[in-house]
This record gives sequence, C-alpha cells and structure tokens, in this order.
Amino acid sequence: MLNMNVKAPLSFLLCLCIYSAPSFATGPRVAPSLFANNTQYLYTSDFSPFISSQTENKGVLIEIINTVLKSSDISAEVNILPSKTMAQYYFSQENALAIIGYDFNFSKQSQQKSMFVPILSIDEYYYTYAPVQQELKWNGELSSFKNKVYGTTKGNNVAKYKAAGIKIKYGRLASLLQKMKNKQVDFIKSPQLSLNNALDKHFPQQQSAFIKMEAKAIESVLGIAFNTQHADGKQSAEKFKQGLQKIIANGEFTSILQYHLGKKVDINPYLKHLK
Amino acid sequence: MKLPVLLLSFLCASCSHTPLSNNNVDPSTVGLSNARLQRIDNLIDQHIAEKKIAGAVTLIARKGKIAHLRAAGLADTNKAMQTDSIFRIVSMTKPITSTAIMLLYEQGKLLISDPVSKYIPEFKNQKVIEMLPAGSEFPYKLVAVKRDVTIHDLLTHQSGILYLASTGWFPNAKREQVVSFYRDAGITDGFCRPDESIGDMVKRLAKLPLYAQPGETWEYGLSVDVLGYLIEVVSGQKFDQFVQTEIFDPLKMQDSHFYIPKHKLNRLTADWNSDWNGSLERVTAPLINGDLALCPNDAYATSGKYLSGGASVLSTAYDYFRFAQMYLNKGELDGVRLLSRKTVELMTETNHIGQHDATLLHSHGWKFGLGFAIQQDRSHNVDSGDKGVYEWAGYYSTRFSINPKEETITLFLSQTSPFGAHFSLWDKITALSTSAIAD
Repeated sequence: MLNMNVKAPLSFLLCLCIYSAPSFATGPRVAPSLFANNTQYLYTSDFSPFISSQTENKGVLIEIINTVLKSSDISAEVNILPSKTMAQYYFSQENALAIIGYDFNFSKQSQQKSMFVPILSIDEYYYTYAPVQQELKWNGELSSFKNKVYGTTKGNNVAKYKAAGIKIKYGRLASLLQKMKNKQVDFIKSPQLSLNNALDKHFPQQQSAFIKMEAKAIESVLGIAFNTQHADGKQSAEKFKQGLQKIIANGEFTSILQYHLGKKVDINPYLKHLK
Repeated sequence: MKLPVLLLSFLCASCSHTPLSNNNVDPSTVGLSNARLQRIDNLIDQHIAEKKIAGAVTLIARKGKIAHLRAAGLADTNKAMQTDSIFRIVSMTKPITSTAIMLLYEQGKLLISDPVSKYIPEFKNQKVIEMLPAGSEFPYKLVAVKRDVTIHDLLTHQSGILYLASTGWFPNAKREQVVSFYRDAGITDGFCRPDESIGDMVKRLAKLPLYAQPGETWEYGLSVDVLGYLIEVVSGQKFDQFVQTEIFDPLKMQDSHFYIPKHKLNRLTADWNSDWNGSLERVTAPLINGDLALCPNDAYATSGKYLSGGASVLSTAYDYFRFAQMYLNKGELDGVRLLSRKTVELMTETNHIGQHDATLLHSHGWKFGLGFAIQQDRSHNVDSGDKGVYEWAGYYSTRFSINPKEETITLFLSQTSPFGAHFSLWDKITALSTSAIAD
C-alpha cells in the first residue's frame, strides 16, 4: 500500500502524462535533417566514365571502390562533387577520410598526410581541334606547346605547363571541347574513353574533327588517397589494400572492368600499375 | 552594323497601333487619356530616333481591355517591328515558372514549405560558404545549412543560390568564391543554352556551396531554374510540356515557346547592342562580360535540351498581356480558372521576404511575393503607381507591371543590351502609363 505522501505526487505525474499524451502523439515538426549524420564520405569529382554522378553505378572506378569498401567492412560513402577543388577542400581542410581520383595537386602538407592506393592505370593523350589547329604536334616536350592555351579541369596541377610558357584555361571536358572549337583553347589532355564519351554526348556529328596526337601524353594512375590524419585513415587504407587484393584475386575486379568496358576490351593496360 | 538614320526615321513614321483582338478599345472607355498615352509613343520614338534602342512594342491595358498596343522601330535589320513580334522575355519567364509551381501546389502535389531535397535528393546536406578573416591559412570554410532549402526559398530568391553574373553586380570575395565553384562545375546562368538537360545542371548546382544560409538573404539567382527541374520531378512531365499544357494552352498564349517553331523564326526580334549614346549595333555573337554570358542568337534554335525556368521563354506582348490579365483577374481568364483567388493573393499581395528589400531591379520599398516584386510604399525612388503593384523584367530590356488597384497592365518589350541602361526608360513608361489614368 502506498501512503498518501507518495500517492499524491504519483497521481500528479500520472495526470501530467495523460494530459501531455495528445501533444506527443502528433509529434513536433522536426525535420529529419536535424538529426546528426555520421556518414563518412570519400570525396571525388566527375571523371566519366571512371567516376560518374550521372550513371547508376557511378562509373567503373567507383564500383570497384564500393565493392572493396563492402568486402573490407569499411563504412563510408562516395560523394561525387561537380568541382574537383571542392573535393580537395574536404580532404585538406575538413579532414575527410579519403579523396578519389588522380592528380590531386596536393600541397606538401596534404601529400605528407595521404596514403595512396592505386587502382586503375590510364593512358592520357593530347587532343586538338583539327579545323583550327592542324599543325599542333606533341613531340614529348611541353615546349612544343609554348604560347598555346591548355584546357584543363580546375584543381589539376598545371605548374609544368605554366613553366613551359603555356597559358591555362579551365573548364569541364564538354566545355573545353567547345572552347577548342571556339579557338579559346588549343589543346587538352584526356583518356581516350573519356573523350569518346564526351564526343558521343555533345558532338556526335563532329567526332573526327577532334584529333588525338599520336604519342601518349602521360600514364596516370587512378586511385584513392586515404587521410592518415583521420582517426580511421591508416586502418582504412590497410583494409582497403587487402580488400582490393582480394577482389583482384577472386576475379571480381576483372568482372567489373569487363562489365563497364566491354568483354572485348583489353583490360591489361588498366592493370599496368599492378605489374 | 550601323543603322541608317533615314531607315529608322521611315520606320518611326510608320509606327502603328495594330488591333490584335476584340480586347482593343478606345482608351477613354476604360478611363485612360488617349492624349497622355501618346506621350509613351513620343518617348519611345525619341529613343529610337536617338538610336538608343532599335524598336519596341508597348501595351497598356485597363479593366481587361487593351487601350494601347503599338510597335515602333526595327525588329531586325530592314524589318519593321510588329505588334506580334516575338521577344526573348528572359527573366519574365520566372513568373510563368512560379505559376507552374503554384499549379502543383493547388493540385496537392507539393507544399511550398517542402524542402527541395524531398524531390531532388542532391539538395540534402548542403553547405554554406563562410569566408575566414584575411590572413587565414585558407580563405573559406564550408558549414552545414541550418535548415534545408525549401520551395519557398526558391520562389522568393532566399535560397542562397546565385547567378554567376552577380559577381559583376555586387562584387565581393565570398560571391567570387561561390561563383568560382559554379565555373568549375560548368554551371551557367541559362542566358546561353547549354547542351545538357536542366536536371543535369541542377543536380550539380545542388552540390555546390550556398552563398548564405537559406532564408537569411535575398539573392537573385538560379533559384527559379531549380524550380523548372522540380516541376519535371513532381509532374513527371518535361518542364516545357507542363507549361504548354497547364499555362500556355489554357491561357491561349499561342506565341509563347521555350524553343521557337521554325515557321515563326521570321517574327523573332534581333538583339541590339546600344551605347545609349547613338551607337546601335545588331548583336551577332555572344556578349561576354566577366561572368555575364548572353547568347541572344541561341533563341533562333528550333530545338534543344536546356529548359531554363528563369530565362528560356520567348513571347509576344499580347501573350504576356493574357498571362498578366489572368493575375489581374485573380487567377482566371476568359472563363478559364488557372489559379485560385487565394493563391494569387499569396503570390502577389504577400511579402515573403521579411526585412529584406527586393532592390535588384527596383529600390527600397519593394518586397517580393512568390515570383513577383511588390511595391510596398510610394516614398522611394521607383514608383510604379500604387502600393501593391507587382512586376518583373527581363535582361534584354523587357518589363511588365500590374496595378491591381487601378486594374492596369503596362508592358514594354525591347531587345537591347546592356541591361543596366534601361531603368530610366522603364520607369518613365510606368510613370506615363500611370499618369494616363483619367478617371
């Protein structure tokens, strides 16, 4: 039996609960966005067809990365941004877990805190617009482009171009192609796959006007740079490396490449860095 | 190409008031002074004779009737302006897009308080730029939004989304930084028509930083272009198809288009570059000035992918009169009800921007409804005749003004760049239109 001294406050509390119930039942107008979001993001920017915000599986590189993340039990989500400099901002200023892509144009400080895991090799070529620049040739020396205008994505390292007396204009690939047509840009650098994709989409009738310079410009490696200053950075990098080896060994890596690039495509050039 | 003065004089002499429909009446029957309306003719003719503008169409309507409709000067080289000439109305597209949103609101398909991310997920977890003090190791930081951008923010230009061209209007370091992200991401203002869908552009824009926290600024920008894509998502139709079937068709706006039909190309007016001092040249190439990129000749394209909710529509004086008259009639025209009276009141009679002022085209004393600037008092520099007048304008020098108290509509359509030189002419036209009221 409860004595009256206890009963009175209990009754009061019970009444309070009963009278309060309707207001809780409808719920306050709290937006879901007010709840904390603990997702770890890996930042990158569009580089179709390797990284693509416009396709369901986000491009071949991102599908490989997502497969490795899943198999390695790394809880993180890839965030594809439309600006490479924004991805670099999150890595250098917001201590993001990792950045994906290549040519990160790291400062010395960012370089020191990154642990790069290579994933895909790509050959890049210089391209020009034939009706405007018939004479432009790549001879292996940037000096051959002196006083010309190089079109590239903002965020790429352009120091060696500037040092060679080359002017720089920035833009996305599609706009750089248009700028070449408009004589605002003389040449660009791109993997053949990326260029073909852009031409299919934006210049289907003029593909032959954009010509590849014979010699390769550079061999690049696409990958993921983990941030060792991040609490999970080093551990995630190690787990990722092991996970990558695992999917290479079990054939998943090759399957993904073939799914995206076609079964008839020789995938060996994309794996050069593994050798 | 320099314009021959003689040809201009000839064309001015041949300016005419052309009847277009049974809406046309003698001005005196609707309480307007014909003599005073002719002052508008004189003003336009003077500007043409001085080669400040090549030509224009003006329309003044009252009580549902067109009391003045006049074409003057040139529509193109050696081609006289006609009352049914077709114009790039650019930002006068925005009230049309806002109307489309409110149609979906009235159909129960959205609330204007809805976060945009409910329909376009890329708008989730947006960031806002904050500049760091001079001398900081890094110039800015990105902070989380306090709340998501809503449809209301987009309708009222309170989203924090900018125009790239605003770096020229109101330069500062923060704006420059946001716009540099826009440039990286290939965002355009929509005055040139890029080779991509509006959805592709809007999804990229959503991932870029906002200039200010949503609701904490009034910044004219690409907000209404976002609404255009949102209409596609919510309606399941292409934006232009939705506008055609839900607005242009019911209002019988037969000469309003996102892309001009081939058989109407000969009615499309040219754009002219004016130094406002006697040098007038037909524009033949894109006009680039810093971040401002205008491509008036893109309007000759008869098809394309890009559908800008903020800038794409081409229209005539008569069509836009019908659109404006629907608003003046509180949502109805010729027996067709497009919007409810209550929605029109929400859009045109309610200040939605609190303490901010809609000063971009006007002055202090102007607020913003849903798609329209609204005059709040008559004590500031830009007076369109009454408290409660609502209006907007377009970049190639077009302007409309609706006075609900006096039941008047004033329309001025020209195609002259640069934009900034026209404020005085526009204000004079609204002043002359207002002072023609004679009852």
